[in-house]
Amino acid sequence: MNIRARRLQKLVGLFVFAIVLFNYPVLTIFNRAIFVAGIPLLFCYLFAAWFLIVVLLLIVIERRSLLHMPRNIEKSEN
Amino acid sequence: MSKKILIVDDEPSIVISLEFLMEQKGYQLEVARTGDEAMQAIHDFKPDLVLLDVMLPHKNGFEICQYMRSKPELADIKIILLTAKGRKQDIEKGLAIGADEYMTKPFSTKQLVQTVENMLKK
Amino acid sequence: MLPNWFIFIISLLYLGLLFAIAYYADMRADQGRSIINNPYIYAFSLAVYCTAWTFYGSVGRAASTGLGFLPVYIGPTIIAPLWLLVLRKIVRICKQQHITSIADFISSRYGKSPFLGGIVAIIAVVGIIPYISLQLKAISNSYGILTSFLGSADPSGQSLNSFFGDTAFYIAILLAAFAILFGTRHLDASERHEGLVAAIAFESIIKLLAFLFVGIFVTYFLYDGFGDIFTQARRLPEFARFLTISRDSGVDWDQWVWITLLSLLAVMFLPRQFHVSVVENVNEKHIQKAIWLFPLYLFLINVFVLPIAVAGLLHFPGNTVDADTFVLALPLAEGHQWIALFVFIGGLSAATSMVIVATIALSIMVSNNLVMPILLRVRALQISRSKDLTRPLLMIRRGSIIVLVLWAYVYFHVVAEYYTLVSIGLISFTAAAQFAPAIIGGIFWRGGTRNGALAGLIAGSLVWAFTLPMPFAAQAGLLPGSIVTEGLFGISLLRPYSFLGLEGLDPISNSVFWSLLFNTGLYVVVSFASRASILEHSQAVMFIESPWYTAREGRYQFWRGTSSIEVLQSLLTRFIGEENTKKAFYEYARIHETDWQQQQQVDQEFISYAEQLLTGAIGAASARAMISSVVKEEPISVEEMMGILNETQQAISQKKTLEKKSRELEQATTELKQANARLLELDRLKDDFVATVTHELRTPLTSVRAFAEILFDNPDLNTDQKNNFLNIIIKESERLTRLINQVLDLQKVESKTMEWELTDIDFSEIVVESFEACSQLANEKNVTCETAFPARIPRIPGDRDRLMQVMLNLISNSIKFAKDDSGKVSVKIAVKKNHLRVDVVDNGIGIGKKDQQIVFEKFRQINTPDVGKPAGSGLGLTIAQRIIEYHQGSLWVKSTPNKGSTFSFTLPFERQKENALPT
Repeated sequence: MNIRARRLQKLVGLFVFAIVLFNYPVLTIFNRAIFVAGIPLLFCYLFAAWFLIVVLLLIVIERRSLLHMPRNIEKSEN
Repeated sequence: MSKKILIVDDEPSIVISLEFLMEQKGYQLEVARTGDEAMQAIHDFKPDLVLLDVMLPHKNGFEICQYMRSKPELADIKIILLTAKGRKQDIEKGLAIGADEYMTKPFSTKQLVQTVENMLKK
Repeated sequence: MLPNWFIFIISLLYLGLLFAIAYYADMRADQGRSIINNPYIYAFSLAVYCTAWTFYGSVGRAASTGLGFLPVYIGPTIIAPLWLLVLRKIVRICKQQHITSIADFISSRYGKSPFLGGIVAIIAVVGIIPYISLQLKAISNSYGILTSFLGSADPSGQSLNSFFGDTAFYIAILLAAFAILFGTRHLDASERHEGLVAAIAFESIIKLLAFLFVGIFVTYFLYDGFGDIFTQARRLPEFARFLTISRDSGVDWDQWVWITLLSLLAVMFLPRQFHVSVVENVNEKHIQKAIWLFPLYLFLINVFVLPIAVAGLLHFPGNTVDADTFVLALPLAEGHQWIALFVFIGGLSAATSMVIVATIALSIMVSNNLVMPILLRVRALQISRSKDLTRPLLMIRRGSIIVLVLWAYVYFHVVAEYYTLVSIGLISFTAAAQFAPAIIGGIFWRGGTRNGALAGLIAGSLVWAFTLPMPFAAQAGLLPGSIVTEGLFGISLLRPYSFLGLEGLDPISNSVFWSLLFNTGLYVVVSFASRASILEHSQAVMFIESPWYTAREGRYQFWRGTSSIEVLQSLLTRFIGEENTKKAFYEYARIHETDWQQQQQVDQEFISYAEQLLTGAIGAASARAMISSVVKEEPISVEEMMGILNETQQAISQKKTLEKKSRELEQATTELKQANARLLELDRLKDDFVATVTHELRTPLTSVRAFAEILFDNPDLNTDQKNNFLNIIIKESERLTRLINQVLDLQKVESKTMEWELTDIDFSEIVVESFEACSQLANEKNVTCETAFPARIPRIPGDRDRLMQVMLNLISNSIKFAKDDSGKVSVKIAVKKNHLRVDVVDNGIGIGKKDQQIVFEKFRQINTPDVGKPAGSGLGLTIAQRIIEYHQGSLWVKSTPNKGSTFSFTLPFERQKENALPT
């Protein structure tokens, strides 16, 4: 299976996932005056979701280097 | 005082033949049938020469040979590996880990007796 | 209180540092040891997205709308995953076509239209100038706050005395100088500026550090963490707006969605973003890292925005301080001048980096897409005849930078004072978003035409101008206010904030919706209604199929022409200088292995190469015009074009197929390798098997030979001994024979050459006979044997002799291992639904768990020290298992050490058809 195509598919998936996370109507679930450790829930949710997206992007992009396969990183992508 | 020989083999028939051959030449004998027994006998019996089979239960002949060559106090004991493993790499391995002679089964009894006598004369 | 001159000197020193960094990076680039060829620098340079608006304005917006400041940063985070799809394609196209600005990109895609390029350049300039002036305003404001806070009655710094105004002016001039020095050092086909990028990346780091610093200071030193700030904030009257998104908090869902959409377009199509992400891209692999680094940067720079806004409101109740300046005012109010100074430097970084990149990006458009086409057209100027155009070109570039900066400065004094940072920023965003349909359509949709793009862009930007800047101007008193309230010419449908009667959207959402709707709609409709020219067609193919073209193929053109080398050389020399021209021609000759100096006539490919070099310097449209003025061209007919198009299409599809094939080949190679490894393993196993067989044969042979020699050499042995030795020889010879037979059996079973004689058999007979055969052995060991059969046993199909062999093997094994004196071996037969089940049970020493599988392997005997070496070849059970398997049953063992073992097997009543009788 072509790794590049798969990664592209994962990235498109993350794009859709991010749209869902950061938009009406999912946001309305957290749109309440509730506090988590004194911090407003929506504030917590937005930054947590944001961080989650960053981490997922990191994993998708750097998976091979995270798996300690440094030899193939340079030549595999173009 | 006659020299002492330790026979290490797990085949009863072969042990009998070796016992006969060595007794005939007047050596003092001890027999071990497994690797563990052999290790014990090397220390207790303090042989001058060991006729060592390779395929043994518990510990194989190579390991025993290696062990003996790692102990300075056992360095004087002669070792003849006596084995049915006849491949070239087996022979090379045996000699590399410190055996004095490597004889492939089936062996010539005359040659075996001759080799043992030569070794113990030195 | 920090004195004015001190802050001024610090600002100058900071800008001096930028000059030094840029100079160093340029020097390294000239030496060929680039410092910006690095994915991290690239990602940081993208952070030029975060301007003074982010640095000061976000807090202000957060203070008034709560979380409403976030969509501007969430948009880019959402689009980032698609960069490998979109941004990478744009970068590749620009490299292939030597495109150096967004105007050139659009003009180039739609048939190198000079008019289209000019329109884009105008939209960009009109849309971005306010944004630049906003940055100057921010610098001026922050400067004012820093010098006058607490000392002045008006700490917001909104009233600028002449000195502060002058400061902003000086800084504007310095920034223009920087842009000229590092943005127009030379005319280069690639238009890359390493010094600029290095300085921008550095500024991005500084502004992030400064903002994090003040954020941590406010959150953890002025307060006791996030929880504490929000807990204290409960006493604020506006507290509710920080908790949720609602109409009351100043941002509703419409706005949230529209601004998110707007900013995800802006992050790619703002001229300065296009410049750093596309034009300045050194290596398209750098995009990958930016995909996660850039959203991470935005995350970090936004975490503390809301806490700072809340803290500011707590500190300065009653709107005494402009919320846009909280980041400065908070440390100052607490007496931390040095922190405030650091924040000021951070804000300065944010503002200056934007001003520098935006002016350079705009100046490229102004000179290549506005000034050059006009100069070339005005024949009176005779510009196309003049000898050396490199200096005039650079002068145009530099002049436009100065004009742009001064324009922004004037705008700041005349208009910008009326608005907050964010509102102007969003107006510019909306202008930049107008480029999206033409660009995205241009790289994915072949049907888009020049007329479509033109119609969309013009309509979109007119709607934008009508719905955003115009009412702002009206509010500022520059136009009659009735336009906003009653509509243009009093027509209520033409009210800018409720365009075409759409009520309920805020001004930004209203404008984004209408302008993009008109833009996209007209782009699509007009594209369908109009025909593309040949050049448009060829450019469309080149853009859309860019991943499949190499730079060389990208030069393919849909017209034929010839020219001489001198003409082209002199043309290029005038625009990019003699040295650059020669270098480029040598480069071409090196790649194509030709000697250009020997050639008189040059071919189409060379002409296209020259055109691309020119494109880098003066833009696609002008380059096209210049080339066609010196080259005799014969445009090809539509039929020919279709032919070429088809050819290219075929070439491309072949290329795609080839890639697919090579992937398949790669896969096949891997599979082959694995198969080979398996074969080698089998080979090794076979080798081991032979070695083991040899070993097993040698062992009895040794005894035979040894005793034969002993008997021969010792004729005087006594009879007992003689008999004893002879007996051993016989036993060992029998063992040898057995072994040979078994090896042959196994070989036959495994190679499927065994001949089977299948008859219907009564299995109980076999059991009884086996016991009889083993009776002597059983008597020797004093083992009791018993059997338990049901009354009727169905006959089963099977090979009598082979099954007998199995039973003999199992029973003799059991007897051998049964308890010495009270040994007991029993055989039970049970009739199951469709098979017989046979159990051979002993009460012997048993088999350890891990050895229960091993016993079935070849030559794997279990050595138990108490019993000594088991007699037998080590093949018996393996063969038995094979025989049972042939009969479509299975053989297994269950055992408890020291209690006994049970060997069981099954034999089905009927053979399955698939395994029909062997041939």
